[in-house]
Amino acid sequence: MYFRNYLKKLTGRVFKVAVIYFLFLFVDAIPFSLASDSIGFYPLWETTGNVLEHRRLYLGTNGAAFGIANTAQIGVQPVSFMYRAPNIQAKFLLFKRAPWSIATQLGATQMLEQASRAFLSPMYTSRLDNPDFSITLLPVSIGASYDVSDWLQIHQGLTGLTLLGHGVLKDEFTPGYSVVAELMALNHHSALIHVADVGLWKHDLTLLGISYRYQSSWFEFRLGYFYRFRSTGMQSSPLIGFGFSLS
Amino acid sequence: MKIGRTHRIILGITLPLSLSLASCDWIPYAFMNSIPFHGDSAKNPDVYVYLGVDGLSYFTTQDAIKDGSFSDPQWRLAKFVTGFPGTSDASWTRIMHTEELGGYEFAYYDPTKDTILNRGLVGILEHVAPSLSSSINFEPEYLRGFDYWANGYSHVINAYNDTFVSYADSVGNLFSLLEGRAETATVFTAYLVEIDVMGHLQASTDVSKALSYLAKKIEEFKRNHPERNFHFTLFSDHGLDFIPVEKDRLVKFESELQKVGVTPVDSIKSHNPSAELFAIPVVHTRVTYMALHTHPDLIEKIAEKTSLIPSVDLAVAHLKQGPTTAEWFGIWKDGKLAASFGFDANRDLYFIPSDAHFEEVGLNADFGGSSGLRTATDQELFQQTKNSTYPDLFYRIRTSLSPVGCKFPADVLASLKPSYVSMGFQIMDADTLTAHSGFHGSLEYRGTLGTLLTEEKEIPDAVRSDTLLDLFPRLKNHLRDRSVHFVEGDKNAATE
Repeated sequence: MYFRNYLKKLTGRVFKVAVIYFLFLFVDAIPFSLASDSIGFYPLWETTGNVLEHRRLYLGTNGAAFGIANTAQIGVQPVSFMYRAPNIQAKFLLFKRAPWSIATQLGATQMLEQASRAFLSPMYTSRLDNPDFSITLLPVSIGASYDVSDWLQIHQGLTGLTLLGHGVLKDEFTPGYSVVAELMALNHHSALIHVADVGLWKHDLTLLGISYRYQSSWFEFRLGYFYRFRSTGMQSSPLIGFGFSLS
Repeated sequence: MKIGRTHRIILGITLPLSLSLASCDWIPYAFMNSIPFHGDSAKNPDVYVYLGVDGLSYFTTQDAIKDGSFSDPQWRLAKFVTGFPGTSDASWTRIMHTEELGGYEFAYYDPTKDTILNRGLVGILEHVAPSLSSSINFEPEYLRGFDYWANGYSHVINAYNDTFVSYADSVGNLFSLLEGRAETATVFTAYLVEIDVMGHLQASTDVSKALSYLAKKIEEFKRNHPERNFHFTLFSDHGLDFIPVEKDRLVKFESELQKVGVTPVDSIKSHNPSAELFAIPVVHTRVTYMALHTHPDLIEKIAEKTSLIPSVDLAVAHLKQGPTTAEWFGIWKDGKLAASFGFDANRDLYFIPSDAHFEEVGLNADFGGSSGLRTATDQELFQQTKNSTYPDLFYRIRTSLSPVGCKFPADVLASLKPSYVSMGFQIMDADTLTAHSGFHGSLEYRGTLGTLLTEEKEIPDAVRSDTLLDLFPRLKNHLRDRSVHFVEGDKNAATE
């Protein structure tokens, strides 16, 4: 009985907090223009055609980057960096004329031994297991962002991933294509639909996801859910990200 | 930079939430499971896959085979004779030879503290609480032996809330992971919880269909990966009786004990054994056994009284004295000592009184002799009992009352009659999430016989679950590779 009452109280409080939170989100009418995404949400396979403004620093869980001369940005994937996978990315603007923005990104990730086992929780498992060997990942991509209208932006990314298996895994090149439709609602919010194919003619997996993005002048929060379909299995998981835009 | 009130509130809510979640595993989980890679199949042409399927009954597997699953001739099925009491945590701990639990379940009596630990809600929450990290982890040690055992933080809750959806998620994830791991590994281990949950909440035909789905996925996977030879082995921790319980057969043990003159208590040291009959019943989940702790002087009397409870089939306990110096065990039925036997651990030899009436406990074996004691080897008794109402009765009773797989075994164990179930601890009136259609735990064969199904090698028609690692040394080595501390268990477990 005590537990039931406690649960009711707790549920009530959580509900109230949730209502207040969403109320604030949706009635917020401060004029604000949503900044274009310059990093992408899903790791490795998503990119955009945008770069950060000059001397703008973005510190986020799904990417940390610094804008240079409005034409380039340099950054890392910080969570992977802490999970025994040090990495770096450099992105260069190739073309920008409304409504198009096109950029290329070069990256390098060294997955150190045991990186695949560095999860905090044992409730998550990686397909790739590298207990005693390292792996080098060299992704190169071209991203294009297209402003269809003031409420719709399309981000496309064509990526080529070179994997060096250091004698354990085969060295191989895998192409991938991603497309993200960003529906920009109100001033601070957008809803995104994510689709990607990894492998293309040598198909490996298909990604399908949806996400939500909140952005203020200095803070960003993202929450999504993604499926990974393969010929013999399927995985799904949420994805969360938040970051601070500083200048 | 000025931060408005609205944004402060948003920040106050989202930041801690984001930090706590984002700092966990979703980003690397997405990243690492999206990397395409291939190994060299010449380096590991054979891959051995061991699937621990919780609660997969021998009879469910038989049904699935009758329906056409596992039809390839390389599959071999054995009765997997699991330990008593047949609860998941105790049984997996024994099968995988991992660090002992306190008792047979999360809730247990600790005689050094003279109290029940993880009682009620605490024990239940430990079942469903997510493992936030390897150190903040309520999961038992045996799960570390499996490369894959969960889909994420909410997996256990999902498994009970929507079992079939959770099962589809788990099977999908399992084969996705296997496909990747097989690129470099020769052994892959995985654990599936949903079959057990289905057995408690659904009909046996539903469970059989779920197993057939797994069989179909195994065949599909093998067809899609001709570059390697995959050898699958399925094994489980207990059987399931598939006897739905009627409300009047849900037994509240505390009140049943009182009816036969035993006072249920919370502490042993605060009671006088010469003045009253008392015992501590350990009530946790809905199972078909009951563990009792009492004062050493009262053990036999409590066993005798417990066997008078209408729902109790057999009560077992150590005997204080026997005809030899060996360790002696008694089996009580209907208020009488129905049979007894002794065991000499040094010689791995059982002693059976020639006038023992084991037919009273469902065993039609001839132990011969007109007077004195007959000796029998463990192997003989295993062969004589493996197809009986109480498979492997002698070994299972003996080890259930010994510190095998648990630090503090009960003083008296009651095995319930079919169709009776211990009520267990209840969270509010959450009957829909509580077992009602099938149970396990007792000495009886339906809850005892799990599945051992393999295409790796020839196996006998019945296998004692404690010997699995000896039968499959690759699995044993894999556990070592996963840094799982090996605990020997009963040194006389081998049946050959």
